[in-house]
Amino acid sequence: MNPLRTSAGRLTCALLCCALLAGCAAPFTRVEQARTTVRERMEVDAVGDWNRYTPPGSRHREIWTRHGMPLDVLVFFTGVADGDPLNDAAARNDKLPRFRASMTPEDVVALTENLIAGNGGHFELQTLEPHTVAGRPGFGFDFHYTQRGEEIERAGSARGVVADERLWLMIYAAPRGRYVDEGRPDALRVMDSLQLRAR
Amino acid sequence: MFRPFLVLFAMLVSASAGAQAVRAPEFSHLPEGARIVLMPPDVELFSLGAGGVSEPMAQWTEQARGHLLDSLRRREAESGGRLHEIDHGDADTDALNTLHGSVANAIALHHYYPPYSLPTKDKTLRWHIGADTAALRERSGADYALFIFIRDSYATGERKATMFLAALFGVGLQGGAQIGYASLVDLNTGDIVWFNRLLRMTGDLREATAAEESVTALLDKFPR
Amino acid sequence: MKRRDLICGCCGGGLLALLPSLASGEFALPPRFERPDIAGDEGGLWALMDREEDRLRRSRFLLGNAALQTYVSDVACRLAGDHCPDMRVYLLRTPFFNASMAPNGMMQVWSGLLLRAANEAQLAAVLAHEIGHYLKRHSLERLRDARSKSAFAQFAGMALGVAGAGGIGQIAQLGVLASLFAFSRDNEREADAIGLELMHRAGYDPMEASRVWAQLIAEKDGEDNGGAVLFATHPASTERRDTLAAAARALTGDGPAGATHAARYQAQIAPVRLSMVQDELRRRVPDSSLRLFDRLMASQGRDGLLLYARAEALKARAGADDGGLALAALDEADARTDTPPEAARLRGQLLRARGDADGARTAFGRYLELKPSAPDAPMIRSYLEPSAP
Repeated sequence: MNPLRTSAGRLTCALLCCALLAGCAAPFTRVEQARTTVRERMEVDAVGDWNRYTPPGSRHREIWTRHGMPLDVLVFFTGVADGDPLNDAAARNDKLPRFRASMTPEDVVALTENLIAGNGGHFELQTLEPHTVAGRPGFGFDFHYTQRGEEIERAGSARGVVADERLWLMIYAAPRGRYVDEGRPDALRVMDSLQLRAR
Repeated sequence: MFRPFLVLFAMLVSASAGAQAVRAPEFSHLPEGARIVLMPPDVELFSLGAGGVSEPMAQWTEQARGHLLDSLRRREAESGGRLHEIDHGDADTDALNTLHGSVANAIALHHYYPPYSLPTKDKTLRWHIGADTAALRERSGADYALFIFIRDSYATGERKATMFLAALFGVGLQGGAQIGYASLVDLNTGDIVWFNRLLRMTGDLREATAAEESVTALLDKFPR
Repeated sequence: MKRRDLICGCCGGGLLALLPSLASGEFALPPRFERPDIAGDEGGLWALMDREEDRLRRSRFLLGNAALQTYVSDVACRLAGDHCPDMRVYLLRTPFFNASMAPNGMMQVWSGLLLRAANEAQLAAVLAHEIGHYLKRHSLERLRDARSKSAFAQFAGMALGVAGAGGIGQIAQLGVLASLFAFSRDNEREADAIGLELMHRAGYDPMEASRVWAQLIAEKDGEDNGGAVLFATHPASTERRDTLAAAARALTGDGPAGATHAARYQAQIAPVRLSMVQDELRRRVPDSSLRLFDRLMASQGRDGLLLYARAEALKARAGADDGGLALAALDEADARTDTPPEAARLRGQLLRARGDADGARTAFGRYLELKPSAPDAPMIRSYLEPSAP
């Protein structure tokens, strides 16, 4: 399940499947501490009121939301390994584009594009520029997109860096208008506070 | 969007009890003389065939929209005419209505189903419609807008027969389901100040009398 | 049984034998359809489609190119004759090969089809086939048929569920959902036959219908379906391709084959070609995209845009020799006038990956010169700074 790709319905199904599994209580918890650890690999300042959720079975994602899904999401990709697709919920035999440690920021944009709108959606890059991420030379990009089968235009921002052969990426997205206008500044502050934890 | 909510429904049927209206913490009642604009109701009716395939039923949808509007108009005539309708087919209205569907789905999932409640919301209704409502306020001269979203399905005769057979095998199958959301939005702030959700296996929008009952349930505890 | 049918179809007699009147080219268009009563199932279907159309009119996915819209509408009109006033064409920006026509006259054409058609006759072949379904009101037949099918699946699914073979109805239902949108084999043949006839009458070479299927089959080769959503509803088989070819030969006989209008088609789609190519690349199915681009080059010439598209697909495939092949395609594109600025960026990326810093710098500089306000210009500019790695 990928909140950047699935519709509300599929998300709901996935959540319900999770609910049916024993020991899957309260999947959403408040992001409490000012400084918080994301999947033991990333560390950020929790600026704003966020709820966190780890998709069951996910290898490298954690999702934050303020208003719930499918309204707004801040997705942390906590070190995607060389050869893995961004969508870690995909079936193993799905023929998805995979991250390569040699990839440039433009390549990562293309991966994101495919993740969000590869199934016939629209994607429009607004900017792509160099950005210091976790103290390293990384990149940032802004975009608009519309998922196939949905008429809501969404906007988003991302920050990422390729370090230690892995992709560290954070993507924020919400419907254009008040949700993205109000949520993006905090999301960017969270992203800008990133430090990578020693593995 | 519709089918997964049937699944949701099947899962939650024991936990839910029809309509459950909720208000935003700061909102207690409508001010004297408040004007409300009624957004074009977003309604789709489906027939649930024996195979579980839901088929959109245009004729039913048209009937349902007619009954729904009749019922709303009658209510407002009785209570002093605060409700005003807005023209169909405007792009901004459309965008707001689409957005409402998405926000209402989020509220239904995160506010009404405790395992997925968002701790930051603290079990209170704190959502907004997500777009600038100033244009709508100016154009309509209203202070509030009422959004209605309904997805309703009905089992066909074949399906009912199948349900009976399935019961013999000890397998439970759901019949039709009615899912409805009503949101009252403050056009000054964009906040959803009152929200109601219907989630039940009864109700029928295809006939005037039964539709009246559905509207009563949906607007149960509508602020005065 | 079915196998026999198909083999018979291959002889060339099968298709035409279904509709004897066609052999002599005397298929008569039915009179224009009246709006049916809303109370009947046909009326319900129309009303439903009217509301769909209402949505479509405001969709964010409309291609929004008025000239192209008029052009495709004109092609559809030439095919549909008297039914022209009842048809409304919508072009949607979706990178899959698909077209459909609803009983109320709403016709959707997806940009993936426009990208893949080699010429106007191929576009006409698909439109004519859909018009064939429309003229024979196949959707209605399908709607009535669907009810009995879903009833059957529930029982099949229940049996599976009771036997513990998985989620109730799930497996069986998948098949039913697909068939719900699929026309019957007879419907397909009938639409194929009418489509050929309409093409022939409008002066198009009916042989192009067979070529459309041949192209899709070739592109489909491998795991990806070549962007053909149409396959889900229109079974593509070599038999069908061959049957269409035989029928086209029978139709034209010794007379002239008809026109393809390749040049005029290319001119019409030129303004949206770059965005269609980018939409195709976004799918990230480089193997099938490469087959597509190579085929388009074979039929439309090795122009700058297609050479660039080929290079992008090669880079995405990232096989051992693909970097070199991509650079070779870009070298060839350099001599063209219609190469997009993105080709210079791609060259920079490829050279940078090979450690050719000077070459990359030159190429990126060229890209920025051509497209100084590109969204990714700040990133690319940073590669030109002395400190860049």
